[in-house]
Amino acid sequence: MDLSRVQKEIKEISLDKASGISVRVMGNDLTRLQGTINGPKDTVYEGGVFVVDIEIKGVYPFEPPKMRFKTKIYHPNVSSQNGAICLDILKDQWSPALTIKTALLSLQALLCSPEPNDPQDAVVAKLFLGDHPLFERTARHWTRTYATPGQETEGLTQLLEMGFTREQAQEALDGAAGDLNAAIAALLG
Amino acid sequence: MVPGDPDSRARKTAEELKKRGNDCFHKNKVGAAIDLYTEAFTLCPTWCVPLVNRALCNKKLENWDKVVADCETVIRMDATNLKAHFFLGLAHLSKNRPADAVANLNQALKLARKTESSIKEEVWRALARAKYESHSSEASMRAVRRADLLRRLKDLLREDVGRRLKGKDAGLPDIIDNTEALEADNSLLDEIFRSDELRYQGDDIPNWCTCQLTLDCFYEPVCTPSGISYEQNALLEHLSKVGEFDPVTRDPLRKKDLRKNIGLRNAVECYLNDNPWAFYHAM
Repeated sequence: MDLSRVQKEIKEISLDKASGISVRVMGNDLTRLQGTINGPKDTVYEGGVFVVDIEIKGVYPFEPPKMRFKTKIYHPNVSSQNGAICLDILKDQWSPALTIKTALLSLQALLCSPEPNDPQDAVVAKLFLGDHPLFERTARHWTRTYATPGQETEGLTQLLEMGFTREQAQEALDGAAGDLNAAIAALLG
Repeated sequence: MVPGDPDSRARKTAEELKKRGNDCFHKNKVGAAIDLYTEAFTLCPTWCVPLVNRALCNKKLENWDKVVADCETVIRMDATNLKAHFFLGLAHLSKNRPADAVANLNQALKLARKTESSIKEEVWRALARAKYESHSSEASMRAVRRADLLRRLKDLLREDVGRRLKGKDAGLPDIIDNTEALEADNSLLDEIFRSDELRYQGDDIPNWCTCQLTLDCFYEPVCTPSGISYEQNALLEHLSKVGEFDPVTRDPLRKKDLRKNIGLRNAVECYLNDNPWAFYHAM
């Protein structure tokens, strides 16, 4: 693998403070990296910090880096189960003239403009097209819950105070797109 | 018949010994290989190939003095022997004689390019390292001298002001004028010295010097029909592994469409020679 290229790429990303992305090395070789993307302004992902697992294979840059969201995210082109990403440049449209940085920036752009007609998560895409307000509420709720560092949503705090377990409370809130009353109703059956 | 004649018996035996030496070398029996090459050379002292191969063995064992001796003998016999210049350059580099290494590796690169040798890129990287190391030692010496010179100049300027004020009955305005002038001189000196310092240490090389695939300095750039240049080996790897398209424009691209960009190669070399710190990115 072209280690010197990966090294240069990491250095270049660390020098760029303005783009809202970062990357760090996991472990002691350069095959596993972790990137972060700041949720773009004026989107349902605003305020969130999304962690992306990056795997650099031996033939890089002649094969795309493998990327998946580690942070849960509610987006038509990302699996809500395992974070798998549907983005052409990470698949058949890859070119070695692209870099880890341009790939992360493309992910950021994907957060700005989802493509529900080429979905990774059919359920999310259906909601995106069918009930957009509910999609937005759910996505915002996920952003607050999973992508906002060190912050517990008010709803979760209240449910925990009411004596529900963290797991129960989170599941109910997720099911109700963050709506506290609906979550309570669901929990109380 | 002279012993070096390819048809002579001595030469035939020497070739046989050399062949056995090569076999040993490939089996990693370096000591045995050296003995066989020595025998071959003794038998046929006008044929330099066994000596070149012995140098390769000693290079592997890092017996650099022996590498130097053999390569110098070979070069006396055949001044255009690429490998002898290359190994000698590497030996100088390892023995911390970068200036000597530059001379031999320059020669080697010229020969490698002329014959389109498969080791030309390896030679280029070694030359870049030699030039960088030669620059580094020069740069650190110059930094010491520069700092010393600056200090002495500033001392002299201060003494000069002292002398001028001493001669006459200096009033306060005189003292203020002279102090201000001294400060202005000092900051101009700092500025001038700083620009020399910057010439000797850079950080980033300009984008036009680097390939978008390797992110490294160009060594053998090739140009596509879209006018974009890439490092030859990286682009060929792209064409075979990723697909037959231009990595940036995505226009269809075949190997036969590529042309060497000698102008760019020369410009990059020129830039590197003017900014030797940048050889770091070509090593």
